[in-house]
Amino acid sequence: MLSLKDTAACLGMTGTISVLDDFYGFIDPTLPPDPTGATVSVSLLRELNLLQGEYFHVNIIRVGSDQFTSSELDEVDYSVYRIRNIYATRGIGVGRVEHYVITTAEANGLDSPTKKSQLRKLTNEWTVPNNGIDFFLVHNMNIPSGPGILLGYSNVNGPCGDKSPGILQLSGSTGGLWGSEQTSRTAAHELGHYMSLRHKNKVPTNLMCQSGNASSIRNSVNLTSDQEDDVRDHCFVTDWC
Amino acid sequence: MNLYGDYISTEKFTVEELRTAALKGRGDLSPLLALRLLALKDYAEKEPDMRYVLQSPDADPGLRLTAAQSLASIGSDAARQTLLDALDLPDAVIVRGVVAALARIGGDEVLRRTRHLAPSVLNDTARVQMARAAYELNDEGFDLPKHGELPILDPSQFEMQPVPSEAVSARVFTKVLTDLELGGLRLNPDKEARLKLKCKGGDLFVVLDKSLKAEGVETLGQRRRVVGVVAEFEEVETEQWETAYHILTQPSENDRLDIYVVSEGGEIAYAGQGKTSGKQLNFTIRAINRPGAHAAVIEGVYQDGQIQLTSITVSTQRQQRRIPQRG
Repeated sequence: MLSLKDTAACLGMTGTISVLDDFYGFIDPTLPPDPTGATVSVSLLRELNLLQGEYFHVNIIRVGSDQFTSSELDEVDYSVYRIRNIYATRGIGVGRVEHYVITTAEANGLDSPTKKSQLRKLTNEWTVPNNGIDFFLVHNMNIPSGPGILLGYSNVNGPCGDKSPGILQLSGSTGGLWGSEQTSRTAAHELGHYMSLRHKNKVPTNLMCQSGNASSIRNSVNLTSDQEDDVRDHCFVTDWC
Repeated sequence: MNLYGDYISTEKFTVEELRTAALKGRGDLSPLLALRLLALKDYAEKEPDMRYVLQSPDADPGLRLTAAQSLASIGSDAARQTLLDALDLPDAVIVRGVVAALARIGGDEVLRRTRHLAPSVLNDTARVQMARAAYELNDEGFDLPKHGELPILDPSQFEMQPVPSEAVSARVFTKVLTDLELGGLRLNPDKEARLKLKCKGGDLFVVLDKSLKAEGVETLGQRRRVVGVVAEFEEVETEQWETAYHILTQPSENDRLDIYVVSEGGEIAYAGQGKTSGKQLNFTIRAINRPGAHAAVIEGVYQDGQIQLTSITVSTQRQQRRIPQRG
């Protein structure tokens, strides 16, 4: 197995590496609180093992970044923690988690979208030019859709390369802030879409069941072996290390 | 490539469950999620609940913005007055949200009260949102830039490809209108002037106002108008159309008129000019130069209630996009 230093170098991290912020990708270099009060723990050994296999990188872009409170930053970190845990159940790692910001002024209204078309504009106007999936975490997302609301939105099988799809498509995944448990499930769900997974609304324990049909926001995060295969086939899933 | 979303329905919860979570912070749902779901319910205390949240200085800004949007949807005199009163709140983020909500309501008093707000509140997108309300009433103020002042994206820099358009059946048109009316469509749709564009990743649908045919294109040179909307259809699962753009016109020089295609979010996305000749309007519209935009050239003719796009080309590549800061 590669050392932490070698693995970090393989992921493109240079200089002094802090385990919790650089390697795990937490904004606050402490473990995020679990909303139920349960103990949160991480295993460096597990992450190093996962990164010997296939993994994907994520760019978390906070939209309306100056509006995020400290508890909302905890929500972001808890999402990173949950995304790692959910995909680890199928042996898929999460490589670099990089954080980016779009301030309220820069967002020019896109921090408070009320239409799906505004999410599309957001992802098509901004991008991180690297090989990670752009996940836009939007501070004031409020998009009614039918008798409910949209929690997140993404392409199914999103683009790689320059992340530039068709004129009416999204260049990244998007989600809002809904409380730690819901935000993290939606983030993992939307990344699943980007990596080609479709909905499984008849399986309420599956991650790809929409939250409104899921049996539990906390526990409905299963992935099948077929879904694992689909994720592994996505162009942003790699095994470089 | 399809677009899918995570979704939660308000039907899963009672009003009391949502009120308890949203207003008292008790329950499994976060107050924000609960309030956004509550805003979709119809119940007697909805307007006072939303007023209470909007006026609570210590409430989370996301809750207050949700309340402002909900009050705009309620649209009653009391809701409008609550929003107008909120223009005097000290928090610029909240007031910007209130302005966006008021733009959805429109009307003389809204325009009068918002016309002279400070630029920090009435930013570019808010001005465009208000322009839509002003153009609907042909009210003064909130002028959009003249065509020559807009940064048009030069299509000659890009490889361009044609986009097909097609006529649409009455059944599809009925579905479009049903969806748009659910979303608060504020025009009287002309069922004859319908057109669909097949874009990569979804469809666009042009819906024009009946008054254009009734009054004739020659009247476009006399006053500012909202002549139609562009709806889009992108999510395969909900299969719903939503309004993406509004089409605004204003008289220009030499018998021409300026045409603007503005987004719901308050951005001029496309602009062009038209020239009337008798009962016929010839027009050309191009994309505005902004990060991530596709260049586009749309040429067409409108006459006697019939719209025909003679040429539509869109670039295969996007304009350079913006890169967010690390943080």
